[in-house]
Amino acid sequence: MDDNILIDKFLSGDKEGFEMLVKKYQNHVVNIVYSLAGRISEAEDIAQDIFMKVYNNLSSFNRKAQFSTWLYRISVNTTYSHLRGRKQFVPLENIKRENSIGKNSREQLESKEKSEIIKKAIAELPFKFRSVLVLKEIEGLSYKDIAKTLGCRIGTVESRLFRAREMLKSKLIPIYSEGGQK
Amino acid sequence: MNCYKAKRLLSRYIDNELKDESLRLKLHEHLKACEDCQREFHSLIAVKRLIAQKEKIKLTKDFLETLKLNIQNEQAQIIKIRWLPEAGNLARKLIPVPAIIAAFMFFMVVARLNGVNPVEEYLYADLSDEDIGILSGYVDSSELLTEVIF
Repeated sequence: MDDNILIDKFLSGDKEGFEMLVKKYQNHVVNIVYSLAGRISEAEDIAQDIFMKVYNNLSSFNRKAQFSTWLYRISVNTTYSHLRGRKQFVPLENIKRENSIGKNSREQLESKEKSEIIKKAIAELPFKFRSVLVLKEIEGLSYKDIAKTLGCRIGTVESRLFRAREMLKSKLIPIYSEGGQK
Repeated sequence: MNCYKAKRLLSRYIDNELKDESLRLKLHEHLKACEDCQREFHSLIAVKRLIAQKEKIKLTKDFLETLKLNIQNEQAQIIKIRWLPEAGNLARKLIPVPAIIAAFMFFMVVARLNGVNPVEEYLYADLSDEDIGILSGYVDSSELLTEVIF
């Protein structure tokens, strides 16, 4: 169902409209937050905070932009505020490599290890580069939509994305070299 | 096209954001001819693929239930916060009345215990002893009046 119909439904007093919006966007929001913040439990708490803000401010959403753009902007800003409060990034869990593991579990472990390295590499990017990268790679937004979400120019999106990838390249070379993807 | 420009365009190219056909052609030609930019192109593709492999979270319906509870709690708090100042205003208006009466009664009792009648003290504060006599009926006021006239 169209977002505007759901918003109208909610504003006319039917809370199901809001619930449907949450169901539609909850996984998008939590994955953006998770990629920006780096910890699952924390991502869920921040996502709760984001949807509370949406609930309280939906009546003031002016609909000049798409609802998703507005929602993602709230998501990025709320995560940023949360991270500023935290002051430092949560260290990622150490993954112990075991010697006596089967092929499947070894593959799983390698996959998890790879995922952790990617997560750490993204986490180490400055927030302004990280947010652009996450909106592009995790959410698949266009440059235009990223610019609207972050309130910057398309050229800024382009250059931040370029720099983010340059930074990631050096950190991720060990993985993509060994995977034969070079 | 030089390498600097080609590398700047690669991000847009791999994101399918390079709409200008002539620029795309120039970039293709440059990539065919330049090994360095080809390496850059492949490494960017590899990074993009790696990020796509990053684990994704899928929330359960508990998320919505928790959210509903959080909203309910927040609204209950808002009502409480809105009600408190009103109650505070009412209290500010009503509390002084009994407080002033209580303070006055306390003052009167203490003064009486010390042998002072504060009401009389207050009423006759600016009057002389004779005035007090007249008012109390101890002195004949007509005498005093004659004395003043003549």
